[in-house]
Amino acid sequence: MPKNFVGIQRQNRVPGGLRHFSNTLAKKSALCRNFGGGGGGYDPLAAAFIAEFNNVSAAEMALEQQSVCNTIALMLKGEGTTNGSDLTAIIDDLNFYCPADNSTSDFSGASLNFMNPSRFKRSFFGFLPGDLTVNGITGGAGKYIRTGYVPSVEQTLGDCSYFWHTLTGGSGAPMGSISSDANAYTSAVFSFYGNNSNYAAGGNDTNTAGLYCVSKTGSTVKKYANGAPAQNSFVATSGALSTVDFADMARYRLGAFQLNYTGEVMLHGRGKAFTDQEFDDFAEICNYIQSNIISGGRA
Amino acid sequence: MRVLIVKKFKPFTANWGAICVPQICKDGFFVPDGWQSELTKKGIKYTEKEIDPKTYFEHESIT
Repeated sequence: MPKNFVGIQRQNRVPGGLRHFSNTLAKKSALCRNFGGGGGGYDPLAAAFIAEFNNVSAAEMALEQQSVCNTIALMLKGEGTTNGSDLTAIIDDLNFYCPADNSTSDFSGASLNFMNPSRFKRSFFGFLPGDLTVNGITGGAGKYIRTGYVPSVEQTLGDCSYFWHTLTGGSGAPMGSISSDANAYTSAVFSFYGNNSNYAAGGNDTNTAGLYCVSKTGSTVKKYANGAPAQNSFVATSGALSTVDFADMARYRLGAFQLNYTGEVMLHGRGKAFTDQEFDDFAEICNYIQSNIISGGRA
Repeated sequence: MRVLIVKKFKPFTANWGAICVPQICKDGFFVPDGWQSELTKKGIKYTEKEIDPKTYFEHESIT
């Protein structure tokens, strides 16, 4: 039965991908695979992530979260996204928070890299246990997340960095840097600071919830906000690659800390540049993660 | 809001996985409120201080 279900899915594939394949159907697909073979039936990408999660976290990941992780792995390979892009060849590292179950949060599990659990684990500074919940994380003075992505070092592996956030109405960009290195703040290519003078006017804020991608290629930043693509919103005009990794929920420009952000989803990524279609598919995956793991969508 | 003023010290990791590090502030270094018990366990002295974050961090040096 499960195999037949998956087979029916594949028969319904249309050129360019499964354009009308809903998240619900994708979730059912993952569940069917799970029924068919337990943990061994998962996609290898999801299976590796789940195994490492269970290794480092205090609580084992529940079946529901496992199934969603499996669907994410399939979507990254092109199943269930509009354009069917295989993003595993594009995205080198992808960190997002997956709770152990519908009520259990875990800092160690939140640190993991979905694409490769053995590297680029995020570090959480200053947070208290109550700051991390199944709905995300709450920031404040002295609390920040370091991604470990250092553009000036990692540019040979990829030339793009991206993050997804759900913050709205903030006073500044959620992405910043913790360092005395001037390039951490002035990089035109890999800085997300709002009002950074190295970006052309009109496209230099990250206050709107959505997916942001800074691409070294073409010196442009693609922005997908509020569910609608807005390509090339940022144009880099000058600057050097940052020699310091990104820190999330850190500072507003060069001064005050970000304060009292709640429920942030904390998705960070690093890899190669996207085509427009690939970028849109990635935005769909981010939406899926947001709705099925972080906020809502849980049983 | 309250912050904990400390002298600079080596970062350490709490048993829940978060790392405690000092951040530069007007009074030297601070860590977020809530880390009192962990600081005490490590034998690190601190003083609590009520601050207005809108003004306290505004002119913070990051050099």
